[in-house]
Amino acid sequence: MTASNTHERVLVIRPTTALSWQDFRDAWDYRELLWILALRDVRVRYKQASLGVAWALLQPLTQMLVFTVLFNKLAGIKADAAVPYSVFCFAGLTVWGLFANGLSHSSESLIGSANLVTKVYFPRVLIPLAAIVTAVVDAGITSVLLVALMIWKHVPFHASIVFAIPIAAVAALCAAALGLWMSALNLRYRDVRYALPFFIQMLVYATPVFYSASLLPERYRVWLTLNPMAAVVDGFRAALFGTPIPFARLGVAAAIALVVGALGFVRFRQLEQTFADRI
Amino acid sequence: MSNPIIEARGLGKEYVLGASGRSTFREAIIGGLAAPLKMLGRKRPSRETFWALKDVSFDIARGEAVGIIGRNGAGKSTLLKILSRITAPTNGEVRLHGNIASLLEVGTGFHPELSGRDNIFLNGAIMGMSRAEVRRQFDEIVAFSEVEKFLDTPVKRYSSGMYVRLAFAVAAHLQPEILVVDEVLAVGDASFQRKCLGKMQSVASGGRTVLFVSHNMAAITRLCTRAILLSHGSVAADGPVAKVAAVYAGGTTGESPTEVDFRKRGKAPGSEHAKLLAARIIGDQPGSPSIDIRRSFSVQMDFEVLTDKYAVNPNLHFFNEEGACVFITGDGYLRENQRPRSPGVYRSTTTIPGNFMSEGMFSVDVAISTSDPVLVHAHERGLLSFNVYDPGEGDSLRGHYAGPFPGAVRPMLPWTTERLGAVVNLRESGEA
Repeated sequence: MTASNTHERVLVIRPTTALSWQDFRDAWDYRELLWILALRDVRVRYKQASLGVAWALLQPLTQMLVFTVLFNKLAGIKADAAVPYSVFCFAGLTVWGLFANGLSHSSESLIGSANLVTKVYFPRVLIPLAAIVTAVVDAGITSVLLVALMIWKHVPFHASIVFAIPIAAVAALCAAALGLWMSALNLRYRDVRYALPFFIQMLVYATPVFYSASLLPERYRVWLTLNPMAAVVDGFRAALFGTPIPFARLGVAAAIALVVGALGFVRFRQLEQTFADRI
Repeated sequence: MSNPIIEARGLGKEYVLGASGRSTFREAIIGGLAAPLKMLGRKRPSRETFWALKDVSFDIARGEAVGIIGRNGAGKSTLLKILSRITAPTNGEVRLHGNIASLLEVGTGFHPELSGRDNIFLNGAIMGMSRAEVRRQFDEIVAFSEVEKFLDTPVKRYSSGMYVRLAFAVAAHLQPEILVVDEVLAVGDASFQRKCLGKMQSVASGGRTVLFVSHNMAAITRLCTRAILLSHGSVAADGPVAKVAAVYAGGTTGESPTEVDFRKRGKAPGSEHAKLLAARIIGDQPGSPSIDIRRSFSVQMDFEVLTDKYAVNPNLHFFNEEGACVFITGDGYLRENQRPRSPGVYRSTTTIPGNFMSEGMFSVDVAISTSDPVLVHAHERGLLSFNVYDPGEGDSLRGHYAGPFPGAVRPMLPWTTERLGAVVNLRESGEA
């Protein structure tokens, strides 16, 4: 059984906890499934709801209206770029929604896929990742409305808008990084399911979504560096409205997300082996 | 076995009993805080664990069809889950020299809101088929499922039969080198089951390796050449189906189920009038509990008559796997046996004809009794057991049919069919 067939793949099933090449090979073999799972989620969501795609728009739109009335009209918060507050806020909500929806969908995804996890093998990591993909699709739909809003409000377009896409990708990366952790921990500690929505709600205040980071006194602004999403939201708006993009802070944000995500993947792989026993 | 496709070595799986291993933050936090205290001498309270599998090793050769059998809780599903990579073993390892697909369920991942078409692709991908592979076999899958007309209907509107047919159609078109099948075949209507079993057999004979997990010996005997018996998480027997069936039938006592000799045990059950000494099944192969459905076999009992007060009659009660009494037979129908016998040792033998029993496991109660007045001198429940199998060579009642074949008995009765005349076309005359 040595060199009889060099092309033969030997699959070893053992109680290992170490990350191996097999994991990456598996994930690659099953790459099609990622899209199919994501497509399923998107289709099902819009098929079941009578308002369909409108739901992807309704949520940020309502949030934007509420924030505009509360913070702009009543509290007098202004946009820092030369754009109307509603556009400023909606831009923030678009990229924030990508993160928040991605994170909450992915953290619930494993529990919601119990029927798959206990019945068939495929790299489990595809489940939270597919949830991120669906959030990306939603964000794509919201972006169409964002562009429409910019045209309506006569906000000029800048060449820097091309950076909006890689910056949004950093938001998706952040969501995926945390989502890997949360989905796995959710199986172990069901507390996650209650704590996470609260955490996301708090984080929206710690992120300059409906206000501008420039409103904060200089000495507090340093703390925003610790929140990768702050850089993402700032950067996304800067790309749209033609103000200087904070590339350095975005780099830090992406690096943080990558490290958290890589550790999350390792931890996910360890926990993955007993998912079926815990679900 | 020079070239095994599956090598399992020392597989073990430990489960923590209780709250399915789920814990809360609070426990984790308290546990974390208490950990340093525990190190100060006090023993960590051991969690109650349970080994679902223990030191399981086997090799399976390419192209073999192997049945994995065992009673509920023997570890079958745990082994299945490890082989399918749904859960990791606690120790040991398995080496698979080929790609594997497992059917623990048909229609895994089916979404009720999606159409039949969408679900074929979804389910195919989940089972490990590439999109191109599904597309290539799409027409065949649809034809196999017999739901062509409803392809674009959400599967939530399907009848349960249609649902299962579609699900199985996808599964049946998987082309792995190793196929692991749970008892999922107990689905769908009879004609569809036949189709599925036929498809499974063609998979096995097509050089692919099939592992079939069941607690139904008849199904395993029909589909597999070799069987592995699991008992309390360990391999209790591994070998040709007939041999393993013998061990399975023997249960946990370890006694040969085909023969019991009470003289060797030193204590014979019975009354002051009669005692049962021994009972045995005599089939084609001595000592084997597997009976070819086409062949007759004998059941023999030795008993001792101690007084000549009553007419003492040996009798046998046959029970099937469902615990239903299939029939009772005894020698009391003969005039000469309705009189008391002179004291002594007797041997009675009865022959069960071929093509009479149905397939499956049977257990036999062995008794000696008197009918007038009613006296039971000895009644040993489930003393013997045996397995009737159909080798499927086409000359049994089954013919070439491979599907489920119900019935407590399967007698081959005389039939006559004769031609009465020319075709009478009723449809035409009806329309006229």
